[in-house]
Amino acid sequence: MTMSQLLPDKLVEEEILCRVPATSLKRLRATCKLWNGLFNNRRFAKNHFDKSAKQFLFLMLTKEYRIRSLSVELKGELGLLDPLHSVQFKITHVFHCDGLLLCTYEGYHRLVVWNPCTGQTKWLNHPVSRYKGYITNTPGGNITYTLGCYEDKKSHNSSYKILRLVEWEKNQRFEIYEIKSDSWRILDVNPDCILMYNHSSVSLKGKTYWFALDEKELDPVVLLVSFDYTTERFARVCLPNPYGIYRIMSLSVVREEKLSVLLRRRDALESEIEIWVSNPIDEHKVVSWSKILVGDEPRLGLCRGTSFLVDEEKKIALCCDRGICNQDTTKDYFFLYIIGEDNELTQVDFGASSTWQLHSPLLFNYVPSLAQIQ
Amino acid sequence: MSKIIVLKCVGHNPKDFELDEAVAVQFGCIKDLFHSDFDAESKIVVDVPMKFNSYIIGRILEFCSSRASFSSDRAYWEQDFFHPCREPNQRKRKELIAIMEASEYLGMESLVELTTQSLANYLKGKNPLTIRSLWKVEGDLTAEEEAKALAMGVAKLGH
Repeated sequence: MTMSQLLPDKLVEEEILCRVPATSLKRLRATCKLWNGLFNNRRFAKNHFDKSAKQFLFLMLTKEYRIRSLSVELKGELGLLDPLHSVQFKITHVFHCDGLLLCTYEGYHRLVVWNPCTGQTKWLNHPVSRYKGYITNTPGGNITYTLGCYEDKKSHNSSYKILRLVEWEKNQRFEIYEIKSDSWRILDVNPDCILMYNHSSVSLKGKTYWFALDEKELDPVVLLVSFDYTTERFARVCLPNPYGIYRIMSLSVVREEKLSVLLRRRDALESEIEIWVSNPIDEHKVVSWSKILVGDEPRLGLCRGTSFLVDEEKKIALCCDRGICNQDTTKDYFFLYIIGEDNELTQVDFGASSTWQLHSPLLFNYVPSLAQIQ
Repeated sequence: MSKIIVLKCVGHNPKDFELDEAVAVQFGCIKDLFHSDFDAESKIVVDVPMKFNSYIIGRILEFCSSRASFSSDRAYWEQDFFHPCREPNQRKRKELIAIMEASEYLGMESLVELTTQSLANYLKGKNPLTIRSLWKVEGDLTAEEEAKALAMGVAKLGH
């Protein structure tokens, strides 16, 4: 620190900058060497995660294969240049975990783990599955990827893994990639149910959650399943109605502490949809659910990809449906619905697109962070 | 008779501050003195570094003695003690930094948190040139480093 400098370096690093929101902080890295260097500092990233106020943002995947912010406090779109092909990376699927985005494009089998705040990226080629070398190119995918956080036993630092679900000959197999060791291996684990990967999956506190079907019972049961990237084991979570059969299901996260589900029962005579929010998820507590919104829209969920975002405090939800038009099967139609207080539902037509490869849930939560990809 | 701690401020406007136990235990660097084994009637003098003048120490002691009257430390800080404003002038910036550094020295975590959060709020939404000018930060990146950092910092999602 020079004599004229007002801010003491130690306090800048340990107490001040770690309290600046991530999206503002990224603009400040060009201020000086000290501040710029903090973006590659794991200890600072952890400090920032602990001390800064979380920014709970909503993002959307666009038909131009880019990511757009829906949050009024942020503006703009995100895109990536694939360094291998020197073209815009067409993002067809996004999975968010701890401020990192796992983006995939089925067209040429590439995936990337990306932190938009630090600019850090980790590119991977879509590897040949160890399960008989089979790769599918089926749109809507028999291969899905999710990202999770685990604690390294030796260093006690957080690191990240990618879980790959391969559906092959009606069986679901798992493989796991450790960013730290840059290697894939088969994961010999059985969730004892069928993961419904075509519905949305989400990350919460480092674990991934999916809907799953238990077909062992006479009446199949739909439930939630979580995967712990530290223990590499699955665990079950009950839905609001543990014996319900649902026609429409979608998952979301509320303020990085609760799960939310959008459900329409298969046996419902009406076209009522329900949005439930859990209690704060904690491995030591039983999950309980509260119904916060109800909507009546017969067309919602008729399409093949429903995603939603919910603001529990304002009691409002934004739902997006995506599906094929009967009149023109080369196009996907997108519809946005807003469900508000007093259960009012407003439909906003969104448009049509020929981007049939875009099969990912389009709406997702995002909390910017300085998490290091390692 | 309870123990008495004296904070001795030297330099410009030297002054001694006598602290009763209720105030002194709020400072991490002093509270352990009350558990040490010495004559209960004695005074302990703590020399405060010259960089922390008596005005700043006096402001901190004012915070310590009044905070209990408010619903929270943050409420007192924002409503009555420091009045966060859109853009502090030079005098207010220096005062904020002095209170922050003195709080850190005295081990008063609550005040460190309040002062550093206020500073973080003032940095939010600014660009590097403004930060350098207002807070006297030396821009020591090379032209190439700065261009790269700017490109990474400006891109999309952020303001």
